[in-house]
Amino acid sequence: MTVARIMPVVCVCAATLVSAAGDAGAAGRLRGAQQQVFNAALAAVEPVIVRIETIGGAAPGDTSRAGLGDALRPGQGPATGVICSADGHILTSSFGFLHNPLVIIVTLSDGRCFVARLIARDYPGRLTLLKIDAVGLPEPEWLAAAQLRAGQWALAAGCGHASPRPALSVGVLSAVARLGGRAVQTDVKTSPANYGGPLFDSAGRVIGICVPKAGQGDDEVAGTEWYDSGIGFAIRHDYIQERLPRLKAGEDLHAGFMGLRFAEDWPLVGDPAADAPTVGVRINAVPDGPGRAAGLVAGDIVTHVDGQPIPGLLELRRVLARRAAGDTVELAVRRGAEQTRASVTLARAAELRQEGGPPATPPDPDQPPPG
Amino acid sequence: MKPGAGLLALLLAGLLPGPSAGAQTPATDNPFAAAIDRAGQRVVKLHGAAFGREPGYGSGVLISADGRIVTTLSAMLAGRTLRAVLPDGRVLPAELLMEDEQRHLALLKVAADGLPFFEFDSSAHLTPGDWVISAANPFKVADGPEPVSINVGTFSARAHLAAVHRAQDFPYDGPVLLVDMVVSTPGSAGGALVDADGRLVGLVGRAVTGRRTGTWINHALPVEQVAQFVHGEPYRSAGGDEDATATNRLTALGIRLLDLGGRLRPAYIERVRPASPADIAGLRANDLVVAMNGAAVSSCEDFRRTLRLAAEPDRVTLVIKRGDEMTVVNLPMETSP
Repeated sequence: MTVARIMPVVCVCAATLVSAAGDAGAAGRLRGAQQQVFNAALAAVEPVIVRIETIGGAAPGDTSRAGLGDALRPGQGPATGVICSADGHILTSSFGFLHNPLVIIVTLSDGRCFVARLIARDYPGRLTLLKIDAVGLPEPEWLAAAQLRAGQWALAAGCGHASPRPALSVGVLSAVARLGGRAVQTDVKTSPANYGGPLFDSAGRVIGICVPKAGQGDDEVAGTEWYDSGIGFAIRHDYIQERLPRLKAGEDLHAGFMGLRFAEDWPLVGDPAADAPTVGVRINAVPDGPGRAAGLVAGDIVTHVDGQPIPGLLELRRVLARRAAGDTVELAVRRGAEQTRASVTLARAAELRQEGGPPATPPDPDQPPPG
Repeated sequence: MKPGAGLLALLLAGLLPGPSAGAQTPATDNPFAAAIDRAGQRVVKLHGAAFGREPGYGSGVLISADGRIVTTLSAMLAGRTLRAVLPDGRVLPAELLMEDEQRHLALLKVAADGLPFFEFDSSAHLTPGDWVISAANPFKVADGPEPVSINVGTFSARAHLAAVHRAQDFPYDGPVLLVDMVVSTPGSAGGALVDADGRLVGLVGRAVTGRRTGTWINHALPVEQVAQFVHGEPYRSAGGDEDATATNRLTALGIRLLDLGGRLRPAYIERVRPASPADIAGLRANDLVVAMNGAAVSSCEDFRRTLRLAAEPDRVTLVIKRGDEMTVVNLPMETSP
């Protein structure tokens, strides 16, 4: 499998050598070998790709979306999903489920049709979990997050154009961790044609689920201006695996916030006088919210969250991106010369708003605020 | 940039054919060089009249040594000023010989002979992931005798086009080749889509958006459709809602659909005629048809099209949803009454 992953590199090097030798025949063979890899990758992943049709629900493009125009009607075409358990769990992008459809029909690659139930949504990842009553379904081979490398081949496939086979798009990984570490970035053309479908490597191993780039708020149509832009995102396998048990249990997961304001400087706080440089992020303000309820005060320096060291805001964002509203995180805090701890129960952005004024940090689902 | 494209850019540097395309030497150390060279010698640039938002330029492919050219139908062909710039740099007046409003194709002719041209090959061998190359003149960036622009991408899928052009349904609803490259650009339509061996597999299609996805559909008309047009075979639509065959077949089966108008109406059965094949097979009012003969059905339009295209006589296997249950129902399809 490792061989397949490094294939692009091998090809480029080999073809460059060939070009120096001026051997068109060998170049042609490499060209042919590469496209066979693409053919085979799609064939390998195709059994776990499902086509999802939704019927009924609020009319897509209705009044709440006024101004978007006909070109941005969400959730009308067939959506794409990925089987994630042999007993019928299917992950897809929330994009196609904006209108709370009355009926969800899932068609497997073998042609079988099922009525699906919507089990739960992961709001920060914009994923929706469906369930069909089936057994013995093929499961994807996932590519471990540790094996992701920028520049490796990345392919996407989706059913949005209602083609008999999923339509294939070919590109590379542009970055392995984006959007709080939840997603990979790719230059594959992503659009409603493949949202909810798999992003996979040249061996057909699934890297993640293609989703729209999220804008502000929980609006699933945000990011439509990024269609086919060369800047696409897929929610990573490791994030999905962490969330799946709770989603399978029917729990909707929202981004969680501490309701704190942090100093923006980075690297943030070191103590040059100390023997060992310290790490941490300094709390600038503690509005009413979970952070204040946990006893935190302005000037506190958060050094660890759930035992993980926090050298800066990026790390804090990434740790919190893996938690959800309602979760409690354990903070190690330096207050002057004193070490203390705090247990903060994360709140939803909407709850912070209700508790008076806007949340301490703007709730951008892409970049979960550090608090 | 993807490795393939990077490689290509690397290899193309300094190897792109110069302005005098006819005299160029194929760049043999480039995996796509032969195909690009072959395509470039068979694609013409078209310049005509601009009407409103219609660009006054486009692309076309040579299909005979005596200067016959196929391109997509557009307003610019109507003017008296239509000119073709041949790959060898000659500029010749072009005459409109034939047009096809369904396939959106036009046949032109320039007075020349001994030209390289594409033969009508097949697109059947294309598999998703195969390299494809477009040769066309997007945004008319190829000035004067300059060679047309080359894009390299991959073949995505076969599909039936369901598209919108300028807020109107696009007439062609037949098979297309979806490609993973940007060809939905002004001026690209009518250009060549070739495979990695330089064989013509399709004609780059008009820039249209998907009826249901709202996205640009980068596609080409399969070469088979181009050949049928040139050979004078009329296009048979994949079926619209007014299609009589579908209505007749529904009537014969004893099914009346709940068809309230609008584009995306689910295929609910409103009524089943007593003692009809549908009734005998157990279909009932309020059943929702979700698949027919293995193809997903998401709307009345889908169902009618699938019915119309079904061979006759054939068995109709429907998957219907009744409550939360899915049921498979087999119906004999009768000949039209």
